[in-house]
Amino acid sequence: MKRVALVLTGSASAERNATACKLAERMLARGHRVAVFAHRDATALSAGDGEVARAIRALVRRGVHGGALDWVVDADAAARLGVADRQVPGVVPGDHADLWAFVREADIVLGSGGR
Amino acid sequence: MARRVVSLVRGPLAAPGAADPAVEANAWAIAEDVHLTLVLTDHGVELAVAGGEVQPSELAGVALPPAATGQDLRGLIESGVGVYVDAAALVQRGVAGDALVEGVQRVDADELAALLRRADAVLAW
Repeated sequence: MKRVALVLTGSASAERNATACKLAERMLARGHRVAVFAHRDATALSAGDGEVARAIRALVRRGVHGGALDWVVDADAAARLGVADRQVPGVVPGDHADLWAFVREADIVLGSGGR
Repeated sequence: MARRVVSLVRGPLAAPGAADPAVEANAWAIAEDVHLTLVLTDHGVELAVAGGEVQPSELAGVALPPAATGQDLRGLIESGVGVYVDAAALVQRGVAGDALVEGVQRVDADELAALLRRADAVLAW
């Protein structure tokens, strides 16, 4: 079992973030523990009632069993985007201390960011 | 565990703000027992230009936040974070090497590759 940290940023294209989420699903299915930190515009992925948010909600629900998935959003960024109180159940508001704790504890770190 | 992390910062935000989000986010690493190296590349080299602070001002009567990224970078350097700037990107943007924030080091492609090879994890911002 590996511990994987997945960092989602707002600078990534929609395709990159979608790929990252699918990768998280695959890793969960293989029994790895996944910690997702979403900041900047990526905090909007898990907000509202759109298709992406519903998919993330289902993914988070799947990860509840065995405590295999943590999904944390940067609370300040979510507040700036107006999505702080619209996050799907299971998504936890946090800050960049959570990001670096995930990175520090991970065996593998993946990011969807960069231009 | 990922202990040695290289953060590649590829661009500053276009809108003025109190702090560049990428630089600010990386500052949190200091308290988390992560050996962090910050590399500014592409448009991110603009963050390393000395004297690039945004002074307090206002627009249509509304105060705009000042920005002192140079100060933020100096804070990271004083905290033990290595801050490097991609020399080739500096040249591409016409930034003179002596115009950088004190303590920021220039790296060429080989040195950058070595930094990345030594890292346990690389994050792109």
